[in-house]
Amino acid sequence: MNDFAVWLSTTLPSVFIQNHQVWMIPVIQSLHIVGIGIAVGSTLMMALRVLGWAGMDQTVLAIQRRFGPWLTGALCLLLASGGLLIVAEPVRELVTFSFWLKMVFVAVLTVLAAVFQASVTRGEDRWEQALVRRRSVRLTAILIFLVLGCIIILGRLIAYDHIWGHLSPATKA
Amino acid sequence: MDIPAWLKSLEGTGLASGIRDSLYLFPFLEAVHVMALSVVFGTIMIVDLRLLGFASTHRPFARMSSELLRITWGAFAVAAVTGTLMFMTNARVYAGNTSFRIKMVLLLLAGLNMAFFHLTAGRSVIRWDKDRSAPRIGRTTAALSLSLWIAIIFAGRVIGFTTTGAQAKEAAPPAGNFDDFLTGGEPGGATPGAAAAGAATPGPGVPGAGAPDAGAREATAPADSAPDVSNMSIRTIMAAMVDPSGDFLFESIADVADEHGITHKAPRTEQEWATERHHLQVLIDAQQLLVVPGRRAAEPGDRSSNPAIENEPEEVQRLLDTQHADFVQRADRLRQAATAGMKAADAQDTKALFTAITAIDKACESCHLHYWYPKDKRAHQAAKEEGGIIE
Repeated sequence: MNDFAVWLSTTLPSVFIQNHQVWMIPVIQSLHIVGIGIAVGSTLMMALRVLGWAGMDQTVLAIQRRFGPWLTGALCLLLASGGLLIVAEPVRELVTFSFWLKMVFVAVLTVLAAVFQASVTRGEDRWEQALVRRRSVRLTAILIFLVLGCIIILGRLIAYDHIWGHLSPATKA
Repeated sequence: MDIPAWLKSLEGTGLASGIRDSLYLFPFLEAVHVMALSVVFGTIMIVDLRLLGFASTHRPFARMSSELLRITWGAFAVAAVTGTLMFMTNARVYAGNTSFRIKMVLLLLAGLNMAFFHLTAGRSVIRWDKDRSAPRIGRTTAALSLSLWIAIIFAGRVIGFTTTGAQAKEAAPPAGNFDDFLTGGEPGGATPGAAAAGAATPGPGVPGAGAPDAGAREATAPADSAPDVSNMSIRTIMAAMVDPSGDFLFESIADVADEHGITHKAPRTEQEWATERHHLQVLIDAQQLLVVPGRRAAEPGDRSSNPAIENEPEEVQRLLDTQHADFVQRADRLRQAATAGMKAADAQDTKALFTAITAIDKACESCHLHYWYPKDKRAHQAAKEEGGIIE
């Protein structure tokens, strides 16, 4: 991975961003944070509706139709801007423990979000009547939000990866 | 009101230095700040898009916004608290940073924009609550709000990229200025922070101060077996020489977690190594100054500011008079540790330098615990845990 990161940092796109990093990296990072904002807002609305804490004038399906596509869009924006950040600073990202743990959480969140979206679209009535009252479903809603929180924290910790001590591949390298 | 002094006192608070000294707190605050601001931005965006008629158009505006804005304000409070705490750790640098200033102005504008909305379109909400979009003035403030918040995110991110180099150096309290101090405080020196730091006034008997009127004052280093012609007390020598150089050395090498990530702070340039050696030399020479027979513990009239744990000057004096050989030995540990540091600095060996500076810290603390604050149980405990007690 180390060799790959070093190789990636010598490729044309990477060098281009590095040469313009004074403004390009903050711009890409800001886009990334805007994406996080959209993802957090959308997830929050869906989670609060499932928990019955907000949006009770809407059906679960209506909330999902309003915010689901935004969450998908935000994930795409995050993957694109995140991908650019990896290309820009591969050695900073790819050899850190925070980054890989974050990727695990991103995968978990993506699967949970996809399952939720598919399930709501297929079984609208079941959601309105029974599922929102089920304890496991409500706990999952909270869990999803916690996973999102972990993703944000880990994303910021990429800059402070030495915190993980020996767990971080960067300190081993 | 003296703003620079106020900013400096912010940096000096226990809260600020506690965050600075921790490798974990600043990153933690930053992560919570990002989480809070993403909730602020995410919820504001939902409200703004509703006003613009782009999304949630079928939902009554008043109910939706009252539900969301509670969350927005809660998250904003978290962002404000974490932001303030981060600001305190390096207040003068942030206050002087252009991106930070722009961000604060944008925040103010976003607040004014919100107030303007409430005074205009917000008043007539009953009339357009169920419409697809708000009236034109509401749509305008919504578009402004979205642009302002995106700009706030950008300005905030840029802060971490622009608080480097000269600025950061200028504000780091001990850096640079002691060099001018040693060379006589040349006005217009290369270090911009020197004049402001107020350390440029040479005190009596500073070695190498080289000011033409030095002869009018006391002789400086007690060469060979020169009698104590200096009237300085140990306390004054500490305040004028040992403390500034010690503080410089302790701050010169460390792991720092700030907005740039974790950095290993250590001397790098030839200039920085030279400064490091100057301060080590001060500590080496200080030993001779301290142990001169007849040296008083404190200036006449000095009192302890914390008699609960500190000895009063008379008691320190009594201990020094009765245990002079012990004091000489303890002072020599300082000289030995500083000499080891000098060797490390000559070889530019950062690791050895760190070890030596740790030894300097222990030499200081061990002697202080014996003569100065023997009643400080916490300090004793800490020194014991760090293996710092040398008897």
